[in-house]
Amino acid sequence: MTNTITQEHILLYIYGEADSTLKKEIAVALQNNTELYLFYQDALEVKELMEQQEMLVPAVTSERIIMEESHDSYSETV
Amino acid sequence: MQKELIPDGVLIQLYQDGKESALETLINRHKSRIYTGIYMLVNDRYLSEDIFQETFIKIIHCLKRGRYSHEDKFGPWAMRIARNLSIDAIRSRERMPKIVDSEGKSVIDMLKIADGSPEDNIVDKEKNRYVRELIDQLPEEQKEVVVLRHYAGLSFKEIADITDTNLNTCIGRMHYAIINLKKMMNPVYVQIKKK
Repeated sequence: MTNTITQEHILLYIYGEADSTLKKEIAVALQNNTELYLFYQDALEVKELMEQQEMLVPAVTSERIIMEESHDSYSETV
Repeated sequence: MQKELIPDGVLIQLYQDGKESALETLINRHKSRIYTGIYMLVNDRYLSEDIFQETFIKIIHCLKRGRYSHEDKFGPWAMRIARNLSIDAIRSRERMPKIVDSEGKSVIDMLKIADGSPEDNIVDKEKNRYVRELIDQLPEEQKEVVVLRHYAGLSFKEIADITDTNLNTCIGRMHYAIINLKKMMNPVYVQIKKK
């Protein structure tokens, strides 16, 4: 059975959560439906921008403290 | 030959059996996504570090008491804890009185600007602020899906579980978030907002 491809399906596709059958249907729909194709372009643009932001988030520095805390609480339990 | 990763469930079992280094592996594997998710939700580096620590302290206590039953779903489980702590932190921050200067600007925000290290790239900072502002303008539910999908790396199904919604609602929120973000990215919209 074929799905009527929606913008929500396009999101599943862009984020790698569409199964192979859906992917094929999406590929066909993108060629034939301008509105869907424009949404696809917009969603990709937003995704790219978000990915750039990810690189700019500072790195976490407190994992050592957690390890120390874990070790202390482990010592208490043995 | 590709080295196979030890599954999270096995690492947890090893840790529960007393192998401390298994926890370190687990933290290193998930720290970046969890911290980034927290940071994008609360938008404060120092608060994010606190929540990150609190998240893992809760995780450690759960593991030590044998209360972990999610097998290899450690990432979403940890992110659920981090998300709940972030929401609590946002709520208590909103209850705190805001100290403002004579022009109504937050003193804390001014301190944050002065806090940047000299080697920070100005262009990166501008871009960072731009994306941050876009995300912060989204309705809370949409912002949460964007952050959890993009920065915490959860699937839509996992986000639906964490936020006690269903898959359709979750994807629907992302859909509206994309439409809103795209609208905000439009130069005409930016010009109107500036006026």
